[in-house]
Amino acid sequence: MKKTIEEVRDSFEASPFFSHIGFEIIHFEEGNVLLNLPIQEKLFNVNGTLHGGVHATMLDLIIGMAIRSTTKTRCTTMNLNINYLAPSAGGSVTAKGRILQQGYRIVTAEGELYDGEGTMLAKGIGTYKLIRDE
Amino acid sequence: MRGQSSFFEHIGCTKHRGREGEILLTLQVQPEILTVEGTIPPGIFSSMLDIVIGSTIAELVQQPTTTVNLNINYFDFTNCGPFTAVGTIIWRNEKLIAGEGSVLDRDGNLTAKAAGTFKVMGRSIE
Repeated sequence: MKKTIEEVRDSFEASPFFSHIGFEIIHFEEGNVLLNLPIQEKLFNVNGTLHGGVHATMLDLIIGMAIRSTTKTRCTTMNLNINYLAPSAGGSVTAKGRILQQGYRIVTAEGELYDGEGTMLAKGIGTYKLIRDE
Repeated sequence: MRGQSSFFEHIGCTKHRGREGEILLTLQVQPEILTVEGTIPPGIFSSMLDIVIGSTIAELVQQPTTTVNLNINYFDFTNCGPFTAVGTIIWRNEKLIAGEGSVLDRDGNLTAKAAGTFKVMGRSIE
């Protein structure tokens, strides 16, 4: 059975990993999700900037949110290709995602990360599998 | 081995050397890094792969590096580890190095695999 948009949002926010990293949902509507991450030192790499793994984590999350808010169906990541464009060491990072193509089981979608000044920090495109209850 | 990042410690990774001197990452999965369904978030594997390839490169050049591109394939999220990640260098020039990495479960099954391009910061590789 498909979940409601509220149940989908709750399933993300209830995840221990979601709060362990420090994510905040700014906006959550069907196909229109905004995610925020205040930058903290615990998320840094040895260069003193936001770790690449955090970028990857946030991109996967926002793409998954874009898909699940639209389909109300659980999904799993098959592939994610990330381009890292700029470092970030302060303020917060905002993420947005969108579906590029949706089939019955396979969805292709993309996500982008921005700093507070609107500079794109990273961009990812991924392939996701919908987990249908049947 | 070069130092490790605060994010590395935040997700619970440890770094050590294998029998042939290669850098290995291990992850004992803790409850705080799971999803609400009790599975491993893809970001954990992405992070391990970014770290192990970057560390393998940094160990070679003894300089900090930054990730330019990382392409990850995920195969299994149901296994709860522990996991081991290992990286190799597949190509290099003066400023850019390409590497790949694998995450294996306790039985040696491939769980995730990535290939990436990293830039060496500071002076060129000699």
